[in-house]
Amino acid sequence: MNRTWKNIRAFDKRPMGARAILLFLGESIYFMLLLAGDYEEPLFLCNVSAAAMMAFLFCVMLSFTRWEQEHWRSMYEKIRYFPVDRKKYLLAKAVPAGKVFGLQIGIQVIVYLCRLLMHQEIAVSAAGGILLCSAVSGIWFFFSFLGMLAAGERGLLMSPVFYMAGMEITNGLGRILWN
Amino acid sequence: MEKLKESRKKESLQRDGLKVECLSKKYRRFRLNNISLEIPPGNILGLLGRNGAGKTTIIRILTGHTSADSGTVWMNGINMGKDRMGVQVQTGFVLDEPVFLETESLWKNGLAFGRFYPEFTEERWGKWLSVCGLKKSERLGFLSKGYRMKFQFAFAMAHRPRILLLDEPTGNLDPVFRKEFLDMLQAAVEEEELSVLLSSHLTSDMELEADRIALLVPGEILYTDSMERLLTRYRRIRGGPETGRRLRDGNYPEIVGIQVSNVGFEALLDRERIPESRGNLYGGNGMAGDWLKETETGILCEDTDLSGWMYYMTKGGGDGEQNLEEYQSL
Repeated sequence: MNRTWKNIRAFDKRPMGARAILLFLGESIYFMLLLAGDYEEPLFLCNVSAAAMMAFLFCVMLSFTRWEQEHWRSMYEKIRYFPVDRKKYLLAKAVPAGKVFGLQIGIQVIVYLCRLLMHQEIAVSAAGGILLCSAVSGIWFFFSFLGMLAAGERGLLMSPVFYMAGMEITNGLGRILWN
Repeated sequence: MEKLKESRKKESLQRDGLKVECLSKKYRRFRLNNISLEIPPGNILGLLGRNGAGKTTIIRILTGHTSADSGTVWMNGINMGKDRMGVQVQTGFVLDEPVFLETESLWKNGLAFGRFYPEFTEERWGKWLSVCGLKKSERLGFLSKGYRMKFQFAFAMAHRPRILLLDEPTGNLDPVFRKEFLDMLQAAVEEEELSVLLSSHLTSDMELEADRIALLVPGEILYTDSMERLLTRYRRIRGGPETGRRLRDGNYPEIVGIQVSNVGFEALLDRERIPESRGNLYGGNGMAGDWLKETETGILCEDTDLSGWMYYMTKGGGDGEQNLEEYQSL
């Protein structure tokens, strides 16, 4: 059981290198934006959080695919030829996406704590609303990405549409919460 | 009692290599119907068929990529429906589609996918790469089609499979490469007692390699038998146009397919269907000792080759599909 899981996790391991630097830079900018944000108008920060969440998820979930011969190919299609437990494979692939999801939410919580320490408290409704919008947009994008993969390699070209839809959902949710 | 029966069946299947029973799969525009095959260890079954006959679908089902709607696949006593991965670890494949990681080196590709096979070792992987004349550091995406086939073959052999599924492995190879590949295959089958399913359009490869032949017409197996028996059973006959027209228009069930032109005719003769009364027409049932014989009736009998056999079996020559339907109904 452990060996299978380890094998699947090791299957797509690549050196982080440039990706780690980009992740660090991105998260730093996001952190500063949140820290210095104006929480009187939380809708803007809601949109920023959702955009960041979906962008990071997109980068991680691209490892579900490979760019080969002018096509995005789903790795799931390939592994079906090999003796790999498919459910475990999908679960294992969801781990990095889960990590990014957790990281985004974690950064938000850290920002709220920092603001607390700086005596610049944020209203609970604003903090909760931003967390909720980030979570909803992340979940939306995760499942729509899986749906795009299932639809086929060309489905991935639709990702900007789902990204925009995620932004719209966040906006709609924000308006419901604060209007 | 039931358990005893089950264990006996399993025991007998363990020596059977691959056994496929009544495999069916339905797509929107295509249906695979009741496919049954058997490949004992150390045997090569040649799967012949026209484009769209269902060869690749069968191979995809046997690799475990696609699941069948019904039917059973047994591999050395393991039922694929119950233990897909158990069958997959014993199966090697060479496919005409990108299955591995194009952007990685051959060596890394082997390690990435090889870890899912219990019998895969780095030592074997290195050995088979060198047997196939491949460099470890080369990137898969840069390989030509011929080398890709060799790479897949090397990977398959590195995890010590019991069955090898080859889907059009030689279709894109030049004659030198093809000969090398077929020699390697033959040696591997003899050394490792593999059961091999070889699908190809190239009938010349089949003649060289296959012990048995299965002919697939869209979705169904029309014929399956040993190569030896096939070549004894069927004969190609030729003759004048008059005789040709007579054979074409009359009731001659032994004529599988016929083509008549103004200068003569050519047909495929099924010797097992020749009625006793007509034995003399083809000179001793189309088989009077010599491989080439002109009978008293002016019909020339000769050995058939697989391409001619396949042509008449699937198309029936001048009568086309109608002839095929008649043949199936007999």
